[in-house]
Amino acid sequence: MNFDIGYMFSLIPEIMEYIPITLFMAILAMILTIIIGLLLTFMRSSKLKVLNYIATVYISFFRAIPMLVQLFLIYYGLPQLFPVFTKMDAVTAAVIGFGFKQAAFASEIFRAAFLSVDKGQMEACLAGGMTKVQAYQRVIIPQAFRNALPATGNTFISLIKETSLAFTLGVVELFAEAKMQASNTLRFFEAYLAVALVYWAIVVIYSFLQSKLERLLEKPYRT
Amino acid sequence: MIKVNQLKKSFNDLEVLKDINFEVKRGEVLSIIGPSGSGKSTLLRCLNFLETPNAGTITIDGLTVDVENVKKQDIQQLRKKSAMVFQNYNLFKNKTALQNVTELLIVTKKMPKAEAEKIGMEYLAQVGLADKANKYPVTLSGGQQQRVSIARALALNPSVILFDEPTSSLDPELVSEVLQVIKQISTKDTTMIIVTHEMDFAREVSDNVIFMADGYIVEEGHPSQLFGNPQQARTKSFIQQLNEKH
Repeated sequence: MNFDIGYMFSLIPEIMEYIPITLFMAILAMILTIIIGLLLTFMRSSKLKVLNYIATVYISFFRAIPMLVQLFLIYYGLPQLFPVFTKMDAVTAAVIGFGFKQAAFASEIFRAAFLSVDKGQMEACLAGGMTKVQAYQRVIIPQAFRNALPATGNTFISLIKETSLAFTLGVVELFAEAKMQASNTLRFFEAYLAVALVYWAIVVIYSFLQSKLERLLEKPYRT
Repeated sequence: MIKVNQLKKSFNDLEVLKDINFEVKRGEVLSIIGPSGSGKSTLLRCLNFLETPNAGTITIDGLTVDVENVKKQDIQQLRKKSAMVFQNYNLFKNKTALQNVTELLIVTKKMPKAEAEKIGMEYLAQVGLADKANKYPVTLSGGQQQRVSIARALALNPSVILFDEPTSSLDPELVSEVLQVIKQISTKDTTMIIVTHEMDFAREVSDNVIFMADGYIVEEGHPSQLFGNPQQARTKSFIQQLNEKH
């Protein structure tokens, strides 16, 4: 069989050197996802119809278009309309693209998470003299966070994997490095299997950390 | 101490409170009774603006709020003068029994944590739950949860405690432990307004009873008077029905 396992293992450390850029994009995109996702959640529960409407259109649009189309639209399309965007580097464009799209999905997760905290606890906060902001900070968000964690974790895993699309904008991350190694040696299977194993390891480690956090947050709810 | 004047509240077209006037003196216990849908709970929830009334004035401990000209800060101030015990306890589920009692002290009264915990333990002991201080609500029975919520209300040292059907969600065998605790508080100086379906309890603890129906106060009086010798036909038939059930 034409498979050089030694070569594959020798590639892994080289590919791993690009873990930082992959995680950098994934984490920044995740932060953007959470900020915009929360914003959309609040807009959708707002009494102002116009905010509600904007959020609905946003979610509908970003859920519908393919990630790749969106990345090209931002990186290659926007500079044509607004020259200032020619200065935007590929990593920034990728992070914005990933974050904007995942926010549309995350807002649904967050909405369900807030709804699952019963209304009575908010009333108890208000009746006790807290402001709404204090109630969210101290009581509602901590519980909604726990409710949202499993699904939000899946979003983060999606983001880690989606960063591989950034190679289409010229960003050298895990996948781009594997691709370059492959075209150097023409050992495609080894290179792509090596990068697949690296992604797998990252997601396994992340999932382990998340389950630790989930256990910690479960504590008040165990009988 | 507490004075409610011409209070009105509608949900869309439905008038729930039509013209409510009453007064409670310091240290008094007022019970509000009446058939379901008569507006009892809505009235109580208007006093701390969990429901926003449409008209009238509310005075609690020297602070008068005109419902039609109310500012956010006024509502905040008014809420700080009262504490509420809910039908469904509404404990903070991510916090221990002790944290449930200390949370509001720390956040709204800016009390240092150590002091809040000392006070919290005192009140948990008063409701007989000192040994459950570090338990989370989910591990407590309904009766215990409600006692924690009473401790939470007491710890705020409010001008008045509002009880919104405090035993209606409890299993029958847990009702008496909660009523015992409320009874015990009622003998102290605490001003209380209690919406309840427990007539024997209302008769025993109250200094005054209000009978409500269809958004009005139909009759008001000392419990022996209101239960023993009601004046209005509507009150009579309500009391009679209750007696027949027993």
